Amino acid sequence: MDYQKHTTSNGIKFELSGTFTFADHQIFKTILEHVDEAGIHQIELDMAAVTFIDSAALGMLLLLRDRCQSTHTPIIISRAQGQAEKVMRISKFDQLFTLRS
Amino acid sequence: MLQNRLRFTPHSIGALPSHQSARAQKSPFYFIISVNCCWQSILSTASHVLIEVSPWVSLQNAQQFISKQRPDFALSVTSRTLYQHNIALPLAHTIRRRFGLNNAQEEDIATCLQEAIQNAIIHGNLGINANYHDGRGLEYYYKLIQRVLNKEPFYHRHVTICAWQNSEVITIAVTDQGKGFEPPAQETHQQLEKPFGRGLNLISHLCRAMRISSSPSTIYMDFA
Repeated sequence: MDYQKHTTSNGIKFELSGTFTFADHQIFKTILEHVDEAGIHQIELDMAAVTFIDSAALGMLLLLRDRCQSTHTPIIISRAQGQAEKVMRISKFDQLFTLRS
Repeated sequence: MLQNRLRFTPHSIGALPSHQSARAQKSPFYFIISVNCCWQSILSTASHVLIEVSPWVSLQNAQQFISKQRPDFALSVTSRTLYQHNIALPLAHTIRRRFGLNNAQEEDIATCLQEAIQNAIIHGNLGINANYHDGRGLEYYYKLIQRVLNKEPFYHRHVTICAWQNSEVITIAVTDQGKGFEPPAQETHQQLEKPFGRGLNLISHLCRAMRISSSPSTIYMDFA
């Protein structure tokens, strides 16, 4: 997986791309570290370019959710499609995250 | 060209007489590979692939399983090699081509293979639980996997993936050399929020039927 970080008026937006799997824990660790930065009001994960996701990656998203909850930072997952959208739907991520199409 | 890139040796291993007679129309073709490889090229060329980076005895175990199952397609790889190479996607593509499946079926098979293979490596062959709860735990978890992967006897253990077709049903079996496990109880909302334990739930949603056996430790996944 690759990601690009953008600073927006609301906070940080990460554009994720490629396959997001168990192998990406090091990359995800750097994303987790951004949550602790001062002045972050919101985190958005743009998943439009994520082509494949597995349950380990879903687990990482939940770790991000836990971290955001501890800092009261809203997290939005946007534009997931195809396999990624299907896997998140099966895993009932709509009950856990704000999902935007 | 393939030989130059991969330094592989096509090798007729033998020891699969029952399979060969049952599938006489498809000549089994085996590779033994001891270097990093281009999975897509290998998988699209061979009907049966044994990736060998381990002692011969483990390979024989894999052969015995393949002989018993008589699959149309088989792949057996050590945990360490599988962990370093994410093969679910190229493997699903190979299965799609071999059995004439469509895009949606390939996508579901890739998702299920990814989960089943990871379970086979980490929870089966390495015997590691998925209990990690925060960022620090995640790092610890992956370091633990790396540590165990480099230990005897764990890195010698194989994961064997077989696929075969009966009428309209494609069955994929993923077998490890672990102790087997009991499927977890039904999902609760509390479990929904845990960062682990989703793999089997995904598989059960995406395949037509799922069965688990403990001897040998195998998950069978049927796809229509």
